[in-house]
Amino acid sequence: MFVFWLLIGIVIGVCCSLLMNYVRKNNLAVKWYDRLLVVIGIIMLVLGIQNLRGSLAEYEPKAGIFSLFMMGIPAVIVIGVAFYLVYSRNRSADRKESIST
Amino acid sequence: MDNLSRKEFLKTLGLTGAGITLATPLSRALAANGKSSVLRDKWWVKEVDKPTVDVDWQQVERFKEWQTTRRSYGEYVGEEKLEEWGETRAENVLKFEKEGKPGYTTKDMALGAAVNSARLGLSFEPAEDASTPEERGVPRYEGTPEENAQVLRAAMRHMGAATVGFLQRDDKINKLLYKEDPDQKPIVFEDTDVGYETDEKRALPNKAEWVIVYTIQMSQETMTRCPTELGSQTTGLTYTRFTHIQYMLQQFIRSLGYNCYGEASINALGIAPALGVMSGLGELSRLQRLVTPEYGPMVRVFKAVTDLPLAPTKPIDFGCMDFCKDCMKCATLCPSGALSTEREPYWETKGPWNSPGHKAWFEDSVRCRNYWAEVGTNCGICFAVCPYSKSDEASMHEIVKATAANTSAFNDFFIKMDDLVYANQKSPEEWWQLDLPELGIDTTREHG
Repeated sequence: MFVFWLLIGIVIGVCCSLLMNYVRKNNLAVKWYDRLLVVIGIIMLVLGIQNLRGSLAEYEPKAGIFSLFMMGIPAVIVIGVAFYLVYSRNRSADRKESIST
Repeated sequence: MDNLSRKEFLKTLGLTGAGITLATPLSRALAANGKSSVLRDKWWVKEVDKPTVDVDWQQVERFKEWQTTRRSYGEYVGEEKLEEWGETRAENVLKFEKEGKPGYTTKDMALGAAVNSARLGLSFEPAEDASTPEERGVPRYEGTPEENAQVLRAAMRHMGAATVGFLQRDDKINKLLYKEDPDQKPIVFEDTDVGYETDEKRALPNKAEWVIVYTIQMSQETMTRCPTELGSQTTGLTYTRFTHIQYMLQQFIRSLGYNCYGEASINALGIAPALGVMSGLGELSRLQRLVTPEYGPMVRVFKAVTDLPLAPTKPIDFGCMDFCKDCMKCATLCPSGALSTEREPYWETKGPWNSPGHKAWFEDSVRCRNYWAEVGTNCGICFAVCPYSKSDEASMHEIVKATAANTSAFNDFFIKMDDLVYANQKSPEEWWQLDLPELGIDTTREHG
């Protein structure tokens, strides 16, 4: 169990590091609520994984799959919204920059 | 990775990993630190002065256990029916075994025979086997009531009890001790140093002021195989374990230099759910049994009386009775229709098998027993389908219970979800393929 959550933590840590690096490298404009949405999404995703794993341990696979979808789909949507907000903000900034030049 | 230094990378990685890895054990350790009451780390369980069940103590009288359908079924349905019940039950069990009906096969019957044959004899009187401090030439154990409670709780956990609560006897608590035991022998209170039993009575000394109330965890996974011979081994094993735990408890208290009065038989000495409610082990529920915050109804409740001073524990409120008003799963899925589907609990009893004086969802116990005859064994569907009976591996259960403890706004949603994703009954044959923990229970539950 400990190793499982350690691995999950490492995977999330690596993904977050790569993401932060990408943001810095490309000078993307990121607002505080973009970060908040990603954090909420990660929490929901971890909760979904925990409930899937827990329900399987309880011999309740249907409940586990249901929990994963109940929390995993909103998690993906929330993270997707954050990504889209950053993308659209930076795309419009690029356009303005290209028009002015 | 051009703009991210190695230091920053490792910092982010380490913080995220450590945070997720340590969050659960750390929160449990912090919550458990310094607490010594019945409950360990459940912020949503409130200790209260009055139990959540309404009690009119003027109406409460000491109850005779043998009035329950466990002992007086024949009186309520007639001796002819009782005989028929016995025959039907035996015939059905044999028929099912011959047919190889799942849950009644020869291996299921063998498990039942093995588990039930391992029970020890029970004694009301204090133990006499273990050496006393006097015999060892040392003073008897002395501690404050709080210390004694902690020592006893630790010892009982070692012996196999799940949760342990304590009560100090007064006029109210005495009313919850049976007037007559299952064998119709009266329990009397006397001013004597040491209690005793004769052919006529069981004498409980007034100086034995403290009641020990404890639960023993039952296997939820096995209970979902009821009503079958296999499913009945949920209670069967718990009663067998109880006989061993009570024996050890009486020896332990004797060896401390005190006396402990036990149940002379199963379901003796006092009303288990009532004492469980008063000592804060749980709340009364629609299924007329104790529902605990830790294990739901998946426990059996036992009791003993002692002259070792113990710090009493208070009743609790975790929203169970309110939840039961909205949830009728046990009642609607009860195959005999014995449980009430009224929304609110009531004062009126359904028969002499009910103990009056409190507001409850009194059950038609005769109907329940009739069904036992049909299936040839005890039932337990009401236990298995209760939303509180779920294990705690998935964190969702804790979130649901914490929410239900604070608001009833989401009760309907929780009940619908429970209906949607959980099986009420599972295959008995599948049980034999499972890799269940020892005794079918997770003894690490609720303890970090």
